[in-house]
Amino acid sequence: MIDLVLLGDVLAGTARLGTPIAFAALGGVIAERGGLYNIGLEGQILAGALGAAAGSFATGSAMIGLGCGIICGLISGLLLGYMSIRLRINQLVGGIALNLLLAGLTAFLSRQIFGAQAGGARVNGFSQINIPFLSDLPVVGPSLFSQDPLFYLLIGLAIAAWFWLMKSHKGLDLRAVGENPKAADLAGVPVFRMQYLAIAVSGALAALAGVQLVLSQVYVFAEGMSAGKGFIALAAIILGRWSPIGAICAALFFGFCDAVQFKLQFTSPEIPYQLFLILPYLASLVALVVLGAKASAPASVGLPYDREHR
Amino acid sequence: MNRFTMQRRIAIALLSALSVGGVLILLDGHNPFEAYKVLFLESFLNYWGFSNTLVKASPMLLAGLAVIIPMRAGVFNIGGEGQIYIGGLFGAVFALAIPNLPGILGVPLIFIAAAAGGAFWAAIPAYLKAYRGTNEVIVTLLMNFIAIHIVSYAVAGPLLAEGAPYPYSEEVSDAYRLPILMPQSDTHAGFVFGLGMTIILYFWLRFTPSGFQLDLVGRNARAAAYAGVDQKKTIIRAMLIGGSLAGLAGAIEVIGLKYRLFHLFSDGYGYDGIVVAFLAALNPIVAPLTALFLAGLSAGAGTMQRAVGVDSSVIEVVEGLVVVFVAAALVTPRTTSISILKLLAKNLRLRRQTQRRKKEA
Amino acid sequence: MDPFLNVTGICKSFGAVRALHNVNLLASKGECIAILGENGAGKTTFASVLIGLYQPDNGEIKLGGAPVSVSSPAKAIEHGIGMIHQHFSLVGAMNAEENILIGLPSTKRGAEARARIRQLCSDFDFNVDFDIRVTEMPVGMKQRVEILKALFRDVSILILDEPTSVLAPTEIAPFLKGVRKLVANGCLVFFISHKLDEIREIADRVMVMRHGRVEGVLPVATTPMAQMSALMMGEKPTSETVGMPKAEKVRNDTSSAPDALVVSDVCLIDPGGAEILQDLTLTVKAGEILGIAGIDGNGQTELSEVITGLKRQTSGAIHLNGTEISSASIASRIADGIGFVPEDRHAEGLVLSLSVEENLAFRSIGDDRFMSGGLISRRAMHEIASDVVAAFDIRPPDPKLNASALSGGNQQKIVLAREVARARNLLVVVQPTKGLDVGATDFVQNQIRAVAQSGVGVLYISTELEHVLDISDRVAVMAFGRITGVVDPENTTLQDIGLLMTAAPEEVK
Repeated sequence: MIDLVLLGDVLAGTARLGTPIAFAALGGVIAERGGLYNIGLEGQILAGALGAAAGSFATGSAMIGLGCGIICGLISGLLLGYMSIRLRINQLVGGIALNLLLAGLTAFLSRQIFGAQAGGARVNGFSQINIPFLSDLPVVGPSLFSQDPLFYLLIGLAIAAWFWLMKSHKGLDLRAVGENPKAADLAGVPVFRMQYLAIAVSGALAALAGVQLVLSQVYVFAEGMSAGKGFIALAAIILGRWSPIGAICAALFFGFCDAVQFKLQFTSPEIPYQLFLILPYLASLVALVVLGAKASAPASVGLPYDREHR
Repeated sequence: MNRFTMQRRIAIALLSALSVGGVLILLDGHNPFEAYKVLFLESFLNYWGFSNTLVKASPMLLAGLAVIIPMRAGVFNIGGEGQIYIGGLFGAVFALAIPNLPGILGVPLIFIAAAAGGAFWAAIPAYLKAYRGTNEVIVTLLMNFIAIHIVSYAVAGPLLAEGAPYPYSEEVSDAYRLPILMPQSDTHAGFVFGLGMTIILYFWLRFTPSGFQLDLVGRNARAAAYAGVDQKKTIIRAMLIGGSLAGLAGAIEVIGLKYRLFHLFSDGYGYDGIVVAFLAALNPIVAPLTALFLAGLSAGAGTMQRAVGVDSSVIEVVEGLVVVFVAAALVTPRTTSISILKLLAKNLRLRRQTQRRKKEA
Repeated sequence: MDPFLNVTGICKSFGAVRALHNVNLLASKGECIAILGENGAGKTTFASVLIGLYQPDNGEIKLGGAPVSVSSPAKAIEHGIGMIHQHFSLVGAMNAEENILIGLPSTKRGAEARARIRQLCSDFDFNVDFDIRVTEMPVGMKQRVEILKALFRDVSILILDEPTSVLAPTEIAPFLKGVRKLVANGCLVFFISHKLDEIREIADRVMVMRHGRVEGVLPVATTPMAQMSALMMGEKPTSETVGMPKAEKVRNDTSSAPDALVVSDVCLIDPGGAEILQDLTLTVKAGEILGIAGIDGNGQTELSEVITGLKRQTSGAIHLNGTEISSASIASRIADGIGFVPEDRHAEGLVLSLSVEENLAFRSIGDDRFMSGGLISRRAMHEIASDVVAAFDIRPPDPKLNASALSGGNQQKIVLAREVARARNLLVVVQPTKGLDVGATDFVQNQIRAVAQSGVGVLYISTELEHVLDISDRVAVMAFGRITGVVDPENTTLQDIGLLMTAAPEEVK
């Protein structure tokens, strides 16, 4: 007999833990589909978190916090774009550098803004929204239909991103850039403009992960609060086969495994909870080996495009 | 590189990074010159500070070499972190399972076990890359997480020390501990060991056919094939060496510094290794310097905060900026290479040649 | 009335090289014009000017009577000029429809667009599978998608660059049928080719180019093939151009020498199904220079790679000094004393980021002469290199310099010096004089002669016909992956060789 309360708890935990990963993974998908690795997701989450905290701290409005977080994400995305597209710095090195930079910068700025006291300053955030009727359903009601607004935003954005990427003309052009920038260029696609667009959007989506952490979960900025979620998102992209919907599902799977292991630590300490932490990575790896990366990974991801080359 | 020579560009990049950091220090209400003076004096010229720098530089150096060797064969190993964990695990398991050997025998065996662990962890992405064409960046990244959780399981489960308040293993026996080089400090022999590996690898690349051929594959894979070099075997060999080096870094953390296997015992040293390798332009002989530089920055940051009151996070900003600016400084507008690292190596070389020619003229 | 396309006085130089010299052409809609010429005759340069990749130094292009400036490929599309390159630019992971629509303004991508693509397909009898991705398509279908892409963008002038060279034999006939349809629908088609039979089959007129000039624009129906090939080759004396009096040339009598290399019935089929080498058989005797003449892309490079082990033949056997090496590794063939000067010295023959001395050693780094006490002796490497640099007059004479810092001629000397030293039994050279000036060419040729005189068999593959004729004891002509004839360079005319180089597969048998 499955414990329904436990199941409800795990589902709620899945949504809570999976949402930030999902935002970042969605951002990663957009960038990689345009041919750019975004290894800087981790730093961009921090940028979004700081922006949200500062915006909400200064004005008391969570919505303005949201806006500030998105702007910070856009800027950090464009910075990585400048390194990858214009300077053609190795995209992995550029991403690692951005993570170092933003980890330091957000820590520094947060101490300037909020002061150095432990715990930081609490800011106004979002409260959960109960969807009428649905939130009264047993088990799934409290966990899935009484979430904060950013969870619903995530679902909306995922569908919008899927539609834009897979069904719209501009989405087709972006995918062409990620697969074969030369062909796209010859067909009249403005390759560099599309890539800047993709990396900026990617940064903004990653920043939403940070916004969610601050405005929906802990209501305070903490140094290094991204805690590796940007890297986990990179794995979720792979497990999600480079599809927006797939990445969200994969991210929620990561969240689910995390929620399960949290529960297990308390309820069944005899089961090694790390099994559930490893599971999603192992699944990603197996998917990669069994299905092959070539079938789904954009063919030109990570390779800078130079029109005059060859 | 017309007007600005390579060295001048790098110097300008370093100065720019420090200047931006200086502005932040000013904003923080302190004197940047004073802060930097303290930072560098404390991390390199002070006994305790330098000891701290060396302790941090040891795993960074080995992790940097673990990136350099595969990259010289054209393979991007960002799995150093995972290989450190598995290496540390294998070393610790050996040390705890056979605790009664004399140190002279035990320590080398622990090193061998750790190198085997790291190599095993690197063999999987190497095989997938060589024989199935799977992107090594993705695979090594995923395997980092798996390794961290495996170690987490080991220290919380089978290896958990009796009565431990949080996950760590029993201590390794005294005989297995690396000698302390600077009395009263934590400075173990790890950095010296890393220097030894550096010299061996430098000579291997330069003076043995197999090392020379590995380098050939990274520089021009088609020319290497034309010279009869088996690219697949070379990729695997390079990754096995890289994994072993990272595994050794893990062992050094365990038997040199902490004497136990801890949950999350590597503080991102595998990723630091990428920066070390990049700043060293993939030249092993330069890696000790870049490792010391990075280790000095992070070791000195805390002291700077205590002594001058400057926020230590400024140094993280400087580290990020160093990488960004150095990378930017090395890129000419028409660069087409995927890897800026190769470009740097080539440019440094050209620079040396023009100097030599000038001297002769 | 003005002709549809009027090209007058087009000139284009690259540095000192005149790639196009006063090119004039009048063409009308519904015409297929073949462009015929040797390598470097200016065919592709002319096409590149038409589609805006190159800007001409002089001259004018008029479309429908009005002068136009084609400043970029995008501009060319605006003017209705499109080109299908040998290497397609398609997105492998997408289907035909997506590939055709990429980059178009949204107004041109609606449901009508899909209908129009299918309409075009049926208009031209193109067999295109719309349900599969480009990677899963055979080469011929990819090519049809490329053409559809151009047609959908309303091109009225379509340039096809060696379009049949990538096709499997069975795909060629349907392709030519499609081109005829295009022409019948009023398209002006330029068909760059060196295959006379195809030109005869498809083209209305043939524009023959040589050294950047138009030698003639002739109606195909009334011009004999021999005249076309004579125009293409020019009426030049055989071997005086390299500045070596004929009397001094020593031909080796190798009729009684043992066979150094025997290639028997070698076939090579690429993954796309195209037959690169077909039942190829040849013999090189010890001390003999066997020249391989032919137009670029007829399997010569692949032949050299099969012999040296870089590519594995689909079937057939290779013997070196009577020992079978058909499946030996590259390394073991190097050890067997096969020297190889590859076609692309930058991509293959050299490692530009290494020094001259390292480049002289890298293909035989494990040899005793570079080793001392189990380690690479940098001193030995340097000393050997210093000797070579002096003997081959490599400049600047500094073995520690990067190979990238040397001129093309000096770079070629590095490759040649290294391979000559290796070649105990066989030397395979491909395009050894490519891009070299007269002095460097002479030097290279003399070195190769010296190798042969020492008793080593030499396979000399080049598209520079004069150089092949100048150096070879016998000349085999290659076309379409076969040897179409073996001639004596003393007693043969350029016209004969030209016919062998362009002979259709049917005429070969």
